[in-house]
Amino acid sequence: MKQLTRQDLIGFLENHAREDLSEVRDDTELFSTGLVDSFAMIELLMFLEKYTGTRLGPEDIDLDNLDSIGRIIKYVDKRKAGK
Amino acid sequence: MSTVATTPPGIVILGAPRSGTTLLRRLLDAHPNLACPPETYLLSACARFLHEETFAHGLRIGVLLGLGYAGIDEATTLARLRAFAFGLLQEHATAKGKPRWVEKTAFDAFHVKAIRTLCQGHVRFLCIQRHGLDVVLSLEELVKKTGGFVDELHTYIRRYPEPYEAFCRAWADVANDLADLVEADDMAMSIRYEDLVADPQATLRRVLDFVGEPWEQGLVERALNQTGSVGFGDWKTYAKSSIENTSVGRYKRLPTPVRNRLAGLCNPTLARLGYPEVAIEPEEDAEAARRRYELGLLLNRMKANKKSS
Repeated sequence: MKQLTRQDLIGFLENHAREDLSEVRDDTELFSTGLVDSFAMIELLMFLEKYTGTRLGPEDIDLDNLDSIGRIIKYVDKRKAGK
Repeated sequence: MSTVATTPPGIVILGAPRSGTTLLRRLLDAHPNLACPPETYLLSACARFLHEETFAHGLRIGVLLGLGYAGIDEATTLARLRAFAFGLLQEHATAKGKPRWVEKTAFDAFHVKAIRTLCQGHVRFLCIQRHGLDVVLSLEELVKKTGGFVDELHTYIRRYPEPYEAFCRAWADVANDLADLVEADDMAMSIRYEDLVADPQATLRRVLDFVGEPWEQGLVERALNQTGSVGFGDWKTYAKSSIENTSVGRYKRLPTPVRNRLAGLCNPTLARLGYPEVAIEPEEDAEAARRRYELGLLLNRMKANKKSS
């Protein structure tokens, strides 16, 4: 499976959040600021489960893992490495 | 649609709530010849006055028929009611130093038939339409913000306990009533919300041409810079000093099963109004639907944790 890139992730979130995310930085807070809503977040979680081939637990669904592009990519890398 | 030679002083804006009626109100109120107060509920009140129902073995009962038995014919009653309602609106326009009145109350759109009985032939109607599923999402937001349902929406919620379905059916009924009006009346014009936010100036020029008023340079800018009178109406538009089209097509973010179900309800009306139909996409299986639900719960917990931290 190919590496999940920043651009892939932004494209995915823009598609589901219907927001222009082209200006977000890697540390821009997405969910806690409302830039990305719950609908889009659920789509993201479904996508991450499929992409990593793992099932997310309550401990995974945390702002520390999911609230910015940088955190999501870091979390996915860690998840795939530990699979 | 042709414009008629005579120009009645009154203009009535009709549209499903959350279709841009307040934006249109703001734009028209900025015109030097047009005065549109915040929502008065005047025409909805007239519609309630004219309410009729079928009783017992098909007997119609209501004020027009009841007064008819008292020797006062329908035309007389309607003329008196019209003079009352239009008189109040004209009084507001005169107080603002403007010759013509515009009336806009979002929930009037649930009373189109009675408002036609009262107003048709005596006003120009501006019927604003918006994609039904964007209306549904915006109504959901309205209900969340206000914490309740106005009576017109509650009627649908009582019949259809799933809010998305209730809102979708409410939109379809209103949109079809407005389409019927535009098809039947040369003094009614159809406008699309999507056109208004994409090109406010061009759309407003068409509207002004239809109501027989000249275009005013800088009208859009002036409208957006005015804070407007305090009163009932959409709170969101008062907070904006620019027109955005970011809420167009928001419905695409709805989960596929929800969008598919609503597509079946709204597609016939969307097609009638000239919108592309909502595509029905392959649905996820029951396991995926359950997982989506579980992830939603976990996400809610994350939100709760964030609030408490």
